[in-house]
Amino acid sequence: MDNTGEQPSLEKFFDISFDNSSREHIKTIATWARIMAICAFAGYVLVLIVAFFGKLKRTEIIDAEGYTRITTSSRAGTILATLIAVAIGSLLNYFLYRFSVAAKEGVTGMNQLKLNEGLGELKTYFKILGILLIIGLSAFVIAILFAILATGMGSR
Amino acid sequence: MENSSSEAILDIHVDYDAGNTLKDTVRWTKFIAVTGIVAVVLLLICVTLAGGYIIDAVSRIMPGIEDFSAFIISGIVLGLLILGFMVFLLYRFSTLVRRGLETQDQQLFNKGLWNLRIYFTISGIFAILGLIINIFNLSKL
Repeated sequence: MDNTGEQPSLEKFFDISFDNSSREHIKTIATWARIMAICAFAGYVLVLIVAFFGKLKRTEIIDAEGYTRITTSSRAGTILATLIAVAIGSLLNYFLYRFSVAAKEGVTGMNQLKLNEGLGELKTYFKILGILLIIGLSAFVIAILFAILATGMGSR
Repeated sequence: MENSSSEAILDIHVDYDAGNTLKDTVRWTKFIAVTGIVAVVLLLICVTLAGGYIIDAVSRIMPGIEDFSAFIISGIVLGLLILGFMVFLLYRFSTLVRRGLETQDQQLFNKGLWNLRIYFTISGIFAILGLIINIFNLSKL
C-alpha cells in the first residue's frame, strides 16, 4: 500500500496537540462561554418582561425652534423589536452554550470527538456573528446612501 | 522517555477535522476583528472630531446632558478603547492559531488560544454587567 502521498498531510496535523496548556485555555474559554450564554438567556427573559409589562418610554425632544415635543414609543413596536433581538441573540448564544458543554466534556474526558464537536459549535457561533456583522454593515451603508440621497433631494 | 511518548499518544491531537474547523473559525474571527478594528478607529475619529456636535444633538433628546459632556465623551472613548482591545485579541487569536497550524508550532497555537481566553474572559465580565443592568431595568415595571 502506497501511503507516501497521504503521509505528509496526516503528519502535518498530528504534530500539534491539545497539551496541558491549551487544554487549560479551552477549559477557561468554555467556562466563560457558558457564563456568557447563561447571562444572555437570563437577560433575554428580563428584557422580554420589561417589553411586555414595562412602562412605555416617553422622550422629550427640543426641536430647532426651541419647542418641546413629547413622543411615546408604541407597545407593539417595542415588543416586535425585542422579539427579533431576542431571537437572534438566542440563536447565537445557543451555539455558544453548546460549544461550552461539548468542549468542556471533550477536554476533561479526553474525548477527541466531543472536543471536535465543540470546536464546530464555536465555528458556527463566529460564523453567525460574522454574517450578522455583514448584514449590519450593509444596512448601515444603505442608510448612509439614503441619507445622502435625501440631503441631495432636499437641497434642490 | 517512554512515559512522555505514551502521554503524547494519549493527548488529544489536532486531527484533520479539528484543524479544518479551526482554520474556518480563524477565517471568520479575522473578518470580525478586521471589521471591528476599522469600525473602532472610525468611531474614535468621529468622537474626537465631532464630540461637541454629538453632545449637542443628544442634548435635544436629553436636556442638561451638555453639563457632563467631557465625562460622557471620556466614557465613550474608554468604551471604544476596550472594544478595540477585544477585537485586537480576536485578531491575535486568528493570526497566531493560523500560523501555529501552518508551521506546526505548538507555542504559537497555545498563544493564540490564550488570546481567545482573555477575549472570552472580558466578554464574560461584560455579560455579567449586562445582566446586572437588565435586573436594574426591571424597576421600569
